[in-house]
Amino acid sequence: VDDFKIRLLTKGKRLPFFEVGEPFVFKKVIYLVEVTGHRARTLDELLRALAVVPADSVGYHMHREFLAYKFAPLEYPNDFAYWTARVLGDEILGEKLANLRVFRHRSLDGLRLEISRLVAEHLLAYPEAAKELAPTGRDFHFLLARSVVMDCNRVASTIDELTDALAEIESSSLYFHLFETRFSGGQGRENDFAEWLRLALGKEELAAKVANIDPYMFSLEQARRTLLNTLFSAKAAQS
Amino acid sequence: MTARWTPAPGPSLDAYRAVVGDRTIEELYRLAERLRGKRVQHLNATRQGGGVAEILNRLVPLMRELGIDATWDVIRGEDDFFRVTKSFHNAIQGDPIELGAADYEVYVKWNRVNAQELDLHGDFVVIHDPQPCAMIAEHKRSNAQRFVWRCHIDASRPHRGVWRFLEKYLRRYHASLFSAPQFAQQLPIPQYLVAPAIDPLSDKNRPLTNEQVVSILERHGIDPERPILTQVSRFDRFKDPLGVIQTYQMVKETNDCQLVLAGGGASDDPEGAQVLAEVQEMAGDDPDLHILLLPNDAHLEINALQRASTIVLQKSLREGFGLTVSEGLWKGKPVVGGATGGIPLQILDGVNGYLVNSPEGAAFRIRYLLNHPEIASEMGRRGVEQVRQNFLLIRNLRDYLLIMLATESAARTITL
Repeated sequence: VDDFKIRLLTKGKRLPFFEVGEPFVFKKVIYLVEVTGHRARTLDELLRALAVVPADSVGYHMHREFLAYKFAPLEYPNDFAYWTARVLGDEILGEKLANLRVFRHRSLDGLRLEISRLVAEHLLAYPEAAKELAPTGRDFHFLLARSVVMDCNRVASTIDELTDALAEIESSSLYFHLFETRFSGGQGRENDFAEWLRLALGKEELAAKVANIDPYMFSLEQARRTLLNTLFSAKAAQS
Repeated sequence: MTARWTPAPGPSLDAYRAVVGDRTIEELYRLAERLRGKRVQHLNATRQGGGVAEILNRLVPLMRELGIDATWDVIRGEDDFFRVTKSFHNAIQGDPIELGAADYEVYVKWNRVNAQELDLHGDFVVIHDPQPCAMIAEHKRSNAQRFVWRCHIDASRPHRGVWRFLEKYLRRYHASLFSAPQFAQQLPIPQYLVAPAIDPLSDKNRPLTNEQVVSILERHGIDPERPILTQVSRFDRFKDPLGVIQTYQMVKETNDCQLVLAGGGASDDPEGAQVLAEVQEMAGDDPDLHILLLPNDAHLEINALQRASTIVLQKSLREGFGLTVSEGLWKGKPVVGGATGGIPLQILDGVNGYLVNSPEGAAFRIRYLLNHPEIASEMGRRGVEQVRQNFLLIRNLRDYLLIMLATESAARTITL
C-alpha cells in the first residue's frame, strides 16, 4: 500500500480521505503496462477470463484510453465496449458496455461482476453472438498497470488556489485525481477534488457539483474546462 | 573477445526539452533519483545495424546523464553462432525451421564462451533478444541483481520447439519486455510492454535543409520532382522487399512514381546477401527502381530519403516493431505498412497511414494517396504528433527507469 493516504475500511466504516483544513496535493501517475497472459478471441473466452484476471486489470481497461493522446473523441469509453463493437462487430453489447456507470460500483470486483453479467445475459439473449471470432492479431489482451505516483510540486489550500492549479496542471494529474484513486483501497469513492472540497473545506454544495462530473463523458482537457467552469460558477454565485 | 561498446555522447537531455517539453525531462530526473549510481548492463549481439543498436547508442549515454552507471556489452560469435541465432530469430517470428541438436549446442557453446568472457556485474542486466539469452544459465547471480530479457521481435506465433528451448532460460529472469501485447507468451515471470522509439535528434531524424535532401537524391540519381515511394529496411524476407516491388509495379501502371528500397546489413544477419540478390533480379533494369545498399552509418542519407518521400512503406510480413514506421511518420509522411507486429501500434489505420495485408492492398492505398495529396499531408501532420506522444526515445528511457523501479519493488503502486 503506498503512502498516498489510502484509507482502508475500519470496522466497516470508511475513514475520511482528507482531514479538515488539509491542503490538496496534486499527484500524477505514470503507467508501466504488464501483460497478464489472459486473452480472449470470443465473448465466451472474455467471460471466462473476466472471472480470473486481477480486478485491477478490469479497472485498467475501463479508463486507460483517457490517458492517451487522441486525434478524435473516443468512440467507446472503455476497451470492453470497443472490442466487442469494433472487433467482434457486436454493437448491441458494445453499447451496453459503453453505458456502464463505472463509479457507481463500490469496488472493482463489483464492476467486474457487472461486466460479466452483461456479457452472460447478452449470450443468453443472442446465442449466435458466441460464434463471433476476433480476427488474427486482434484478441483482447488483458493488461494491467504498475503505477508510479509522483508529486507534481503543486498544492492548493483554497478554492482559488485549486482553480489556479487546475488550469496549469498536467493532464496526467487530472487523470490521477479523476480516475486512478476512485477504487483506492478496493473501495469506490468520489473524485479527489469533490472529496477535498467536502472534507477539507466543508463545501458540501460545490463538492456535490464536482462529484457529479462524469469523467467518462470528457477528454481530460474537456474535463479540466468543466471543472474550472464549475469552480468559476460557484465563485460568481458567491460574490 | 566480447566488446564493451561506448557510444558517442550525442545530444544532452536538455536538448530534448524543445521536442518533448520541460515537464517530461524533469519527470526523468525524478524517476532516476532512486536509481542514481545503479549499474545497468545492456547486452546484445551487434553494435551496428538494426533498431536495437540504434536505441542502445542513445539510451546508454542518456542513462549515464541521469546518474545511472549504464554500460553496453556486445557478445561475440563466429559464423556458425550467427547462422543459428538467425534461425532462432526466424523461428520465433514463426518460420517453420527445424533445428537439430548440433544447432542448439552451437548456441549454448557461444553463450557459455561469452558468459566466461563477460562479467555480468550489473545491478540490472538487460539482455536483448535471443542471441545472449542463455548466458544467464552460466552466471551465478547475487540476490540483489535483476535480470531482464528484452524481446525486440514478433514472438506472437513462435516455433514451439525453439520457444520451449528458450523458455527454460527465460524462467530464470526477473522480468521480460515485449513490444506489443500479442508478442507476449505464457511465462512465469512478469511481462511488461515497452515500445521501442526513435531519437528525434539523431542524424536519422533531425531536420534537414531542402538542399541537403536534394543533394542526396541527386547522388543516387533519384528525381526530386516526381513521387517517391520508399521502404527502408534490411534485405530480409520478413520485410517483404519482393512484395514491395510487386506493389510498385502495380502502382506504376496508373501513377508515375519511383521506388527506393534502401537498406543495410547487420553483422548478425548472414541471410541478407541472398535476399538482396533476389531483389536485384526482380528489379531488373527499371531506371525508377533504386536499390540502395547503404552502410550502417548512412543515417543522414536515410533521413533525406524519408524526407524526400511522398509515401513511406513498411510492408513487413512479420515485424518486431518496425521503427522505420515511426521514422517515416516523424518526417510528416503517411506510412503504408503491413498489419503485423508493432506496425498497427504506430499506424492508426486511416488516421496517419494505412494498414495493409497484401501487395494489392498496398498498391490501392498508395494510388489513393497519390491522387489525394491533401489527405496525405493531413495524415503526415497527425503522424508527427502520434510519434511525439508515443514513440520518442525519451519515453523509452522513462520505461526503462520504470522497469528498474518495478523489478526492485513488490508494490503494485510505487510512490516517489
